[in-house]
Amino acid sequence: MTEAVDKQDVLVVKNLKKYFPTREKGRFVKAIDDVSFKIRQNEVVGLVGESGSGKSTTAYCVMGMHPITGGALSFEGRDISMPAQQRSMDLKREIQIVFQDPGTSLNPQRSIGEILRMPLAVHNIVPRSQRNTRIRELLDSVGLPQDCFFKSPRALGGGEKQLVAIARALTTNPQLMVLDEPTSALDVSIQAKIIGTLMELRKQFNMSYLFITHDMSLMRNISDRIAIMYLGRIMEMAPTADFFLKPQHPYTKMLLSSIPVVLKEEAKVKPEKVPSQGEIPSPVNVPSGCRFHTRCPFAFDRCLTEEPPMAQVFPDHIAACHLCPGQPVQP
Amino acid sequence: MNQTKPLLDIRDLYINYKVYGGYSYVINGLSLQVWPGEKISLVGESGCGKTTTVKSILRVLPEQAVIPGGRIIFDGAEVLKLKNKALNAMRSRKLSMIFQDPTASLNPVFTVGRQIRDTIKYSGIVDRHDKKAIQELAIKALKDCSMPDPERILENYPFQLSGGMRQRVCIAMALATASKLMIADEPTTNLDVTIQDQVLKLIRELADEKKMSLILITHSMGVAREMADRVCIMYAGNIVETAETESIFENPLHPYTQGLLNSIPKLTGDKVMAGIPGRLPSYTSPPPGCRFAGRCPHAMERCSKAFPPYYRVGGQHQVACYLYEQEAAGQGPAEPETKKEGRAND
Repeated sequence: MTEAVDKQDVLVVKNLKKYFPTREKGRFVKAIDDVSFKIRQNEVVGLVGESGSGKSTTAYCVMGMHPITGGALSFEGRDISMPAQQRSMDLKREIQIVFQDPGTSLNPQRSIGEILRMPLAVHNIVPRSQRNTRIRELLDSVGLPQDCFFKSPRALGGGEKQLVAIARALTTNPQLMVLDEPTSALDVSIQAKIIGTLMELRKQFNMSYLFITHDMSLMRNISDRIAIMYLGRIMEMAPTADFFLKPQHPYTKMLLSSIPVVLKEEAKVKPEKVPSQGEIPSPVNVPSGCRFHTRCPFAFDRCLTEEPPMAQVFPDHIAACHLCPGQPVQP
Repeated sequence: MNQTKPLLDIRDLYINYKVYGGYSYVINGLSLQVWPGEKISLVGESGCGKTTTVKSILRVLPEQAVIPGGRIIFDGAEVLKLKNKALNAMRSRKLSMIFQDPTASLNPVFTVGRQIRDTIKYSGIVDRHDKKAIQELAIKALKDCSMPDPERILENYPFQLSGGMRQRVCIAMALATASKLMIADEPTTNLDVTIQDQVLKLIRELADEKKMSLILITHSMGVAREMADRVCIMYAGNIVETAETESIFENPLHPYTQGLLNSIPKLTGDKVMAGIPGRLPSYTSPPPGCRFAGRCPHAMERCSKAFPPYYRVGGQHQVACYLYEQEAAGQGPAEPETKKEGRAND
């Protein structure tokens, strides 16, 4: 990193690119195509988008699970562009992830106690003699009963399993937690509890979250800033209230107006209906110009040929659309 | 609705599943009426028996299911007593179903066209040797579902289509033959919100155009609100509350409905999501009374003794909860769900 890094920024993602090769030589699945954003201290940043937009790939790149194709990642000023195998132990400790499906992310042959003991032992967080006490504290902090200690993941419900996954991520006292759709496999009555626990833990341990989801209503309630992704690019990023009250990009408007809501008051805050048309194109053949033009009801000639730059529309509110005038920003 | 007879009338239905060492008592005395042209939505969380209920209407329950009691009357026929021939006729011409996962409900080794044509061929609406007529109907079915270039899509295999397209093919197949009732089992759960919007719009328009009744199963209250005339909230094998859509969202009565609505994150963002503590009771040894009693903040002693009857609270709003006994006292017991005991014969 050349420039001075703001101490406030926990994670800086700069021009991140991740291409996966296809069978055909020279053609790539452009899963992430030039994504830049920052997560500040104690912030919850929501990453939303349809399936295939590159949300999860971004998360995996931050975790170092995929080697990146281009760009740079840094965590608290330290470069983390390398894959996880080359990261130092304390970096791995600082960044943790919770996966979408708790059924497959917990080892069914281990008891909950053993699952939580593993990271404690690998990172040597507490001496061997205190590990059991620490595990019990962890169970307490996510609100699981103590008798879970000897249970197998099979014996728990979906929500409880996800709490175990959260406790496991907490073992190493991380600064940054990446949450990859942690509640989309769960019922809403269970989801509320998980989200409540997550938000409390964040206050208690001063963590920042990168929260990935496709549920916009959920984002409205918990995140500080939201970035919306489409075909491997961020289309709009704004503080939460701004994002919902003054959406700029046609794609954001289309998504927001498609959400089924339950209250009359909610229907009032939805933007004017932008009819949903078409489907997300293949990331192998990304459309020319603005990648959203194939589905955009407002597209005109310029959109077909020229990719719109990211521009600042309001303070801290950026959008990439020819129709949204603003100061071009350098990531 | 001014018709005198419901199109579908489920009365006091019980369904048990044989499990190791006994039975799982899933559907517990469920009653449901669907009137001609009415769009209803069955809402509930996973494992509450929504799919089991509609599968019993088509009689496609798995082998280990037993129906110890209850009647299902569809279009004047006793579904549970139908012989094979009549049952097939009902399935092919009067009832159609759209499943949750379009990938799993289409055969991967046949073209989409072959599968739609087969549906038409065996429904008996045209001569089964008249290939031209069948092809025309197949094209029309896809066109109705606003599919671009239907001739080409008929030649495609399911893997060549996207998720939204596959679901449209399933809808086309369900509607290729004339139908009186369409059952859609979570048709948009696997789809993105923009595609969900398109598919829901399509289902709503087709149901209106063909004057079909619709049973939409969903776990999303938002989807139910957009689609249905009437909403039935299910919990652990029973409908706990049923009312016109407006009424249920403006004035939810059952503690479960209230809990469910409070759990949903809102776009306005100013309310904290509350959630419901606890989890579904075990189906193998369900509590004798109200199955929600264990999680209910207002539970009384009598709640765990017997299942509450349905109380009619204002107009068409029915709720199975003792809390409303006083309020409903003046209006008489709701019909036809009058007698309710714990479980039927074991």
